[in-house]
Formats: sequence, structure tokens, C-alpha cells
Amino acid sequence: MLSTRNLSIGYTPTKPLFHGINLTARSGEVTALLGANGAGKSTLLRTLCGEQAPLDGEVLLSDKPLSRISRKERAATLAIVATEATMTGALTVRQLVELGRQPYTGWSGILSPADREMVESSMQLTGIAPKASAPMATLSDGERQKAMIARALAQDTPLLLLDEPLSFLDPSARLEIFSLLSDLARGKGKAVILSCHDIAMSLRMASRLWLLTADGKVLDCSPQEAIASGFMNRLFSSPHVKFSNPPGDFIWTT
Amino acid sequence: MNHSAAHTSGRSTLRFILTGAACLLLFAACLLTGAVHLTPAQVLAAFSTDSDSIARTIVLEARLPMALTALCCGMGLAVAGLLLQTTFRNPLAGPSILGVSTGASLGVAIVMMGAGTQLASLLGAEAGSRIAILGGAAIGAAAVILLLLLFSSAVKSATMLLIVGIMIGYLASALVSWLNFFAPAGVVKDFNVWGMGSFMGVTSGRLPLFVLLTLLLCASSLLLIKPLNAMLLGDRYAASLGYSPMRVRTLLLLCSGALTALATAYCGPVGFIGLAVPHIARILFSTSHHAILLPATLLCGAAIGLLCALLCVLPSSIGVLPLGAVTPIVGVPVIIYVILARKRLNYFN
Repeated sequence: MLSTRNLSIGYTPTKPLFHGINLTARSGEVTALLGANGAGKSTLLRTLCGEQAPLDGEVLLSDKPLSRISRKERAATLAIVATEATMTGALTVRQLVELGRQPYTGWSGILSPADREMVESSMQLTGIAPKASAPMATLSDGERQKAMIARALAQDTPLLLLDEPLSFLDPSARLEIFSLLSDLARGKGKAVILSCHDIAMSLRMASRLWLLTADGKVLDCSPQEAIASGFMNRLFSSPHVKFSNPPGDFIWTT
Repeated sequence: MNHSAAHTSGRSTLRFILTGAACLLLFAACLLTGAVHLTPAQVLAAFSTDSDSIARTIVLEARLPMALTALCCGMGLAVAGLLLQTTFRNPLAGPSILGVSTGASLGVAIVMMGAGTQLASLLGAEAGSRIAILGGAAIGAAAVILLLLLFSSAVKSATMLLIVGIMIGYLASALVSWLNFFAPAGVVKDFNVWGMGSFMGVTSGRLPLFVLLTLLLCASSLLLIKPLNAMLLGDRYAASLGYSPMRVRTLLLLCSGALTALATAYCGPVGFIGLAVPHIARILFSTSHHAILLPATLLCGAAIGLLCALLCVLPSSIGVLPLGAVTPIVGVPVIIYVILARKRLNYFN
């Protein structure tokens, strides 16, 4: 669904954060992007959704270069859940999810019956439908994230990109959101890419991992490969932080 | 449409009707209030041709133009404020706070005290100076909007951008003081009278153009409802929905700048309406969805404009209060309330 060809990302052409990136995210799979703070996860995600131009190489959506895809077509291919604060507190959940239909409505933004159908089913799928008429400001963090995911779903795109959707959530809500994303990938055949800091959960629940290593490489592997080939220990540069399986997570060693 | 949505829209309809009724009442009150006592029957009679000529002159040449000016100025500034607040995703933005009004004032000052006189003689005194003042206000507002656009790409924090706007405003008013200092006394007086702000300076002859331009701009702002809603989500989401955030922002700022310039050129600098009215609309209609909020802001702007006009002429036997002495009385309590209650007000979160 989404792939990169010799992609270089960063801010200065002479000093790319990463170069020669070749990644693939497939339909029906959840891909977890892991890396240390400041490693470049957000930069990579911004480049993948076209907000930031690549320094070199290409991002391909269904084998078509992102740079040759119109804004409108991109909006129908790729939906995002970002970390930025929004000013949507006084919108109801339904009004927020309806914004996902904007690429398909005319200048007035009036929804067709089919648009409304898509809005309702997106809220059903994420389990936020009972709160449809509640103002966004009254939701818990977990409910808010479900509403934002429902909005992305309503955009009806084959590709979902989520920037740290699990941050600020308690373990129960994190599990709920991650399994929701797995269900959407499997059930709806979407390609889901999320960046995240929950290593253990990603190893258990993601189909693929993209690892931004401390030595400047980007690795594309399955969770099993990542554990078996010792890739996990390349994520962080601290000599005290080691990957251990079991428990399938990082531990502090002295 | 499902049950709850129908319920919500029914509630909004009722609120629209009530706000509209408030506008009508305030409009009638403006026609009935003034230095000369007129009965409702006399005011009504003034609209028919065979009426007492003094009452007719008072109503048609003074009170009606004032009420229509207040209504248009209120609508225009309120919508300008809403567009700025959504564009900068900052509920405390407004045309006077961000320096757009002061920019327009500076433009007018330059025209009135400098280039304007030559232009006026070129175009014929009255019409020429009007067009020059309108142009000066537009260029001044546009210059500040352009500065804000430039700063908004460098200054990411909304609060910091607000402070930049306040600084631009101070700078513009410092420049106005310089012009004042060097200009001949007669012109300075004219400018200072204009600078106090008034709904009574628009004569019935100049009124149609002001009303027409305001209605045109307000109507075109209704075309922006869809991108305004997308901007609530922020630039990243707006881009992912297929917009160019920079283009949307430019469009919104241009519309807001044009409305501010128009109101400022005709009524002088009018503070607080643009800042406070969108909040009144959000609180009354409890939503930030622009399909409701934008028309609500238009109506509330008209009502608040009329209310301010009414407060100005209320001490009728003593004289007319300057507009600048009234708008803060109406606007400041709203802003203070909004700041104190921001945890309870959904749209802040």
C-alpha cells in the first residue's frame, strides 16, 4: 500500500536524519514505528504523508509517487491521527467525525445519506457511537482518541497514519486502541502505521516493526525477526538498557 | 437525520429566532431613542411620505442611518473576529487586539493628514476623500495582516503571535501620534473625532455603499464555513483533508482584513466587538461548528452593534457618548467571564 524507495529524510540535505530508507506497509497489517525520543519518528511520518518533502528518494502510495498525487487524491488515500491539540472541544463527537467526510462533500459541506452512513459506521467500529452527541471536551483521553480514529476512518482511506496514538493513555485504554487498530487492519483491510513507545505491546500486537536504530538505520522486520536477530538492542544507545525476552521488553542492567 | 441531530438543530433554530428578535427590538429602540422625543407612531409615520418633515428628517437622516451603520459595523467586526480566532486557533484573537484595526487607522491617518488632500482634489472633494479613506484603511489593514502572516510562519505559539499583534498595534498607533504631531491643527481635529469611533458619521448618502460592501463580504464569509471547520483541527489535519493550510489562512485573513478595514473606514476604530461577539455566539449556541457559529456571530454582531449604538444615545438630553466609551463596557465583562470560565467552556478544551 505504502512504500519508500531510497528515501532520505531530515531538514538539511547535507545531514539527513536517515537515508536509503526502503520500507513497505501492507494492507491488512499494523506496522509499529519504534525509536528513541528525537530519533525521527515524527519526521518520517510527516514525510510519509507529504507534509514534509523528502531530501531524496520517493514515497509511493500504491506504487504511485506521492509527489505526483493531487491533494484531493491524497486526502482519499491517507488519513492521519496527529498529536497536535485541536480546538474541537465544542464540537460533538458526530460533528468531529463528519469532518472526515470533507474531501467528498461540495463547497457547502452538506453530507449525503451515504456520508452520514459512513460517519455512523465509523463511530460504531471504534465504539464511540454511544457518545455521538457528547461535546469533545467532555470525553476521557481514551474516548477522545477513539473519536479521532473514527474521524480518520470516516475519511474512508486505505491507509491510516497515527502519530503516537497511545501517549497519555492508561494501559487499559492503550490495549483497547491497539486492538482496535489491529481489528481495523484485519477486518477492513487497511494499512495501519503508528508510531509508539510501548515496545512490549508492539512486539505482541503489530504485524511489522519499523525500527529507527540509535546507529542511524531504519529496519523493516517482523516482531519475531526483531527479537531473534538482536535488532531490538540497537534501538537505544544507553549501555544500561537491554532488551530481554522474556519479558519481551527493555530492562535496566547495571 | 437521526433524533439527536434533529434535536440539536431544533434548539439552534429557536436560538436564532430569539437572537433575531433581539436584533429587531434593539433596532426599534435605536429608532425611538434620541435627543428629540418621538412617539412610536411618529417614527412609523416618518417612513410614509405624507409625514411631519422634522420627525421624518430625524428618523430617515439620523436615526435610521445610525442603526443600519451600527448593525453592519457589528456584523462585520464580529465576523472578522471569528475568522481571526479560528485562523490563529486562539479564542483571544480579534481585529483590535492583533493590530488590524490600528493598521487601518494608520492608513486613514496617512490619508487624512497627508496624501489624501491631493487625492481628494484630484477626484472631487467628498467622494474622493471617501474613496481615499477606504483605500487607506484597506491598505493599512492589509499591511498588518501581511505582517501577521509572515510572523505566523516563524512564531508557532498562538500566545506569542497574539503578543506580536499587540506590539504591531502599538507601533501603528505610535506612527499615528507622529503624524498627529506634524499635521496641521484642523486636520488633527478631524482625525481625532473619527478616532473616537462613531456610528453617526455615515450619512444616508454614503450608507448604501457601506451596507452593500458589508453584506457582500459577510455573504462571502459564509462560503468559508467548510474550511473554517477544517481549521479547527489544525494545519496537519487540514492538509490531510486536502487543503493547503497556507492558502486557507490567507483567504480567511484577507476576508477578515477587508471587513475590519471597511468598518474602520466608516466608523473609526471600534474595539472589543470583534473580540467579544464570537464568544457571545459560542456561549449562546454552545457550539464551534461554523455552519451554526458563523450565522450566529453575524446575528449577535448585529445585536451588539445596535446595543452599543443605543447606549451611546441613551443619555440623549446631555449628548451622545463616544463609541469608544461604550464598547469596552459591553466587551470587557464578556472577555473576563470567558477567561474565568474557560475550564467550563467546552470550546477552550
